[in-house]
Amino acid sequence: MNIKDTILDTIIITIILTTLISRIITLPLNISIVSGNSMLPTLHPGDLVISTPANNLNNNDIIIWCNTISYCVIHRITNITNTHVITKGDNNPLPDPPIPINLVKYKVILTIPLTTWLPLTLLTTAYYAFTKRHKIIKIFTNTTNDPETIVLTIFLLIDLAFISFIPIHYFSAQSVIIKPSIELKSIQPSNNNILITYTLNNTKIISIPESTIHVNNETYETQTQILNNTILVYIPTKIYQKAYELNAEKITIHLKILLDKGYVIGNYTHYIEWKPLTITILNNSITIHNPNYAKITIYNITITYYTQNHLTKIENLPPITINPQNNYTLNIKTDKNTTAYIKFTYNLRGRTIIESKQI
Amino acid sequence: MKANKSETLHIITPLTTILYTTYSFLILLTPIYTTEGIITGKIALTYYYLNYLNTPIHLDSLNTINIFTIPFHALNSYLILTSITTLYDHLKKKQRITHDIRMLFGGALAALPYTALLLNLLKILATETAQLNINLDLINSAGYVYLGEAHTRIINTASILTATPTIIIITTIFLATATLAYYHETK
Repeated sequence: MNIKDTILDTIIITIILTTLISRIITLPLNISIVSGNSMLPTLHPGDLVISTPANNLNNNDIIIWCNTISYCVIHRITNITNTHVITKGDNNPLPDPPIPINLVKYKVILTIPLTTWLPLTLLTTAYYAFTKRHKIIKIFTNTTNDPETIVLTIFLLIDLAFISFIPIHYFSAQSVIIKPSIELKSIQPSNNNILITYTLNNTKIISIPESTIHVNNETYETQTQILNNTILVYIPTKIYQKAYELNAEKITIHLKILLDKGYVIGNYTHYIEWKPLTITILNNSITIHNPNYAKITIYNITITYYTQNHLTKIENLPPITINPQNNYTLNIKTDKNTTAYIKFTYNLRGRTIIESKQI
Repeated sequence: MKANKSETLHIITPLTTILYTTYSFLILLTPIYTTEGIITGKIALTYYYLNYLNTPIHLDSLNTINIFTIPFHALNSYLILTSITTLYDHLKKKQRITHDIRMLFGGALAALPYTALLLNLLKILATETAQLNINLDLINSAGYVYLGEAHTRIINTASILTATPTIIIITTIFLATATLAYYHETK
């Protein structure tokens, strides 16, 4: 055996032993091959990584941690504490669960792409096989050899090759599954209706199979419309009317939202802003505006006329119902010597409000 | 008497080997775990298919386990071929039967570390599939968010096939038969 053969043998044995032993005990150098796509685009499947013992770990370091000899993970550190590290594949949507820091074996210092190291290795192997061709042929053809030893050796080598070069894979289905998420963004009134907007990730709203509105203990069916991430909930006037009658200050919207990946059952409270009637007097007319979405009835309407500070007439009017978002205008006949006063009563938020105005 | 025993071993050894390889192929190819819920599918050592809400998902860890089964398939194929050759040579009364038995014995010896690796792979597979037991339901500002859950369970027949005692007993029978035949041929 010449010196060239000895050097070549030594190199090959050293590489194989290093890759094997470095998983059991920490050696100054470790060689591994990447499998899987979790570290794309930094590391590609088949890339060869050279690493050194994991000292002075920092965020963004690419590390190798091993659970067992054949179960190693190569990922990037996203967070580090005194006891644990959190790693994440560059191509993974989510980080891995925290792992004890003592499982971290190596820190990657050099990456050799598959397209570089594989041709070089194949050439070296071919050269090695060529130089040893006579010995190899002899092993397989000479029946005086121990066939059981040869068979055992071949299968052990296959086994060792697989253990040595294909242990790098990553952890957990949880980091592969992109979980959908839905969160409430806002609840806003839109005229008499309600717009409920959500923040959606990796999911979309398909339909609203259930939509009801609860006023105190009463339940009403309602209609909805899906506008991308927003649901328009129609609130019929009768619901506002019921809320007005019950002096309710809030309604609860109950929705069952069917997503493409699950469903949501939400109960959302909407506070009704009951506003007092607004009264506008112009010349001899009085306009009463109902800014609410429920009909409001004014009653005990009396118009009192004074002429030169003497009460001349009291006029009682029947109750008047003012429709939602509508005006009611009352014309009062007076002359320049007569002053009229209008007085009426209505209920709002459980209280009786008495309005009195001079015309 | 010795000739009769030798004849018997020439038949029993390849048959035991075929039995072992059939069992080994069953372990490699039979789905061991089944997943139900938002993740559905079956997982065997050699292959798996998993769908998350009808979208196929791939786990590098399971891919690696699949790759690790290649040496097992190679060994099984070798053992099957050698067993058939041994039976053929025995029926044709060929002289190379001793060589065949020695070749079989070599495969049987290789099966020993492979069994250790197989047990390790089964352990890793159990760890990986356990992580498919997930529950994504939660309560947040949107309300009760039901995103579903997934459960993985071992298939009954597979649990018997992959039980450590079963593997050890069958490997021991195979190895003992091969060793006995080898001892008889070479002593």
